[in-house]
Amino acid sequence: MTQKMTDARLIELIDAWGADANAYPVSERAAAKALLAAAPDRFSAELRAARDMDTLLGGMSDVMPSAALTAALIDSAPRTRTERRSWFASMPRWPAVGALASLAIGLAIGLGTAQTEPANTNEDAVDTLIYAALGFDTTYTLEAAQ
Amino acid sequence: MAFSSDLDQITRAAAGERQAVSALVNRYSPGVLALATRMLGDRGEAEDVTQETFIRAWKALPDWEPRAKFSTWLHRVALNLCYDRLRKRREATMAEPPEQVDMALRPDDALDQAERVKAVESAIAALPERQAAALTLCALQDHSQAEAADIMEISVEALESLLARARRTLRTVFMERSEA
Repeated sequence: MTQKMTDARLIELIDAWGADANAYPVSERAAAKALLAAAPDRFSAELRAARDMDTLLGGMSDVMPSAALTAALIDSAPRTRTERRSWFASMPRWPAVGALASLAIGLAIGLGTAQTEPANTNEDAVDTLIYAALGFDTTYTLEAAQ
Repeated sequence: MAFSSDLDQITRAAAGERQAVSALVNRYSPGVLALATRMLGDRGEAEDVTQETFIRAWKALPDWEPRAKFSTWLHRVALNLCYDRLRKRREATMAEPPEQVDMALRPDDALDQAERVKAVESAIAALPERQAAALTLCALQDHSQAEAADIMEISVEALESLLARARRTLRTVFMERSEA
């Protein structure tokens, strides 16, 4: 349904939406166009001011994302499990093989040279003497040390 | 229709399909970046907002329900992030007032296009945030009245009122400059 258009309402529309009546709300567009056609001079001042503003705004340049930003936005999206696996699969394998080999050699050497019983060293005797000097019962450990 | 192809791409992007992700980024990042740039008047901050917007989008995609247009939702997220940044900026400004930027035009008014654009960008960024959002969505981007109102979560009547005030403020600013 086409609404009745008043001068005041048409001026409001021009103020808000600009000089181009095609930008006005659909429900009021036809009535606004009819009034503008019937009395073009009556709104010339408002239309001129609105047209100046439209020109000013229309001259604004587009803002486009840089290639770096676009790439970052795409990279920020989660990847599928397949892609994650393929990323892992594409990694060079020799560092992992090297690390495993080093671990195996280290374990072999460690196990081969490890003492099966703890050695009775002078440090044990020194510890025992210190404990005795502090008043602890060290008879058993002294005998064991000898 | 963009809406149905969005749904298809959202589903595929949620599954991690790179082609769908790229399509969504290529379609919507210019609008989001432009909105943030006009709102904040700072390209670096606008890029941060764009990245944050898309990170939120990727998180939301697996549970996406097509009750709203993806574009509307995305711009609303971006707009709210801009509001947050502007609020923090205001708080910082209250603590330590920044130097006044002289935005006056040259007396001979012989501005080249780049300077004119910069002056308009500064004037838009200086508008109250809801007026700047209304003007950017309606006059600088191709959003319909209903979509712009939806993004801002207001009625079309309220949108119209914000637009009228924004245009009036800009007119006053530029009239004062040309008279100076």
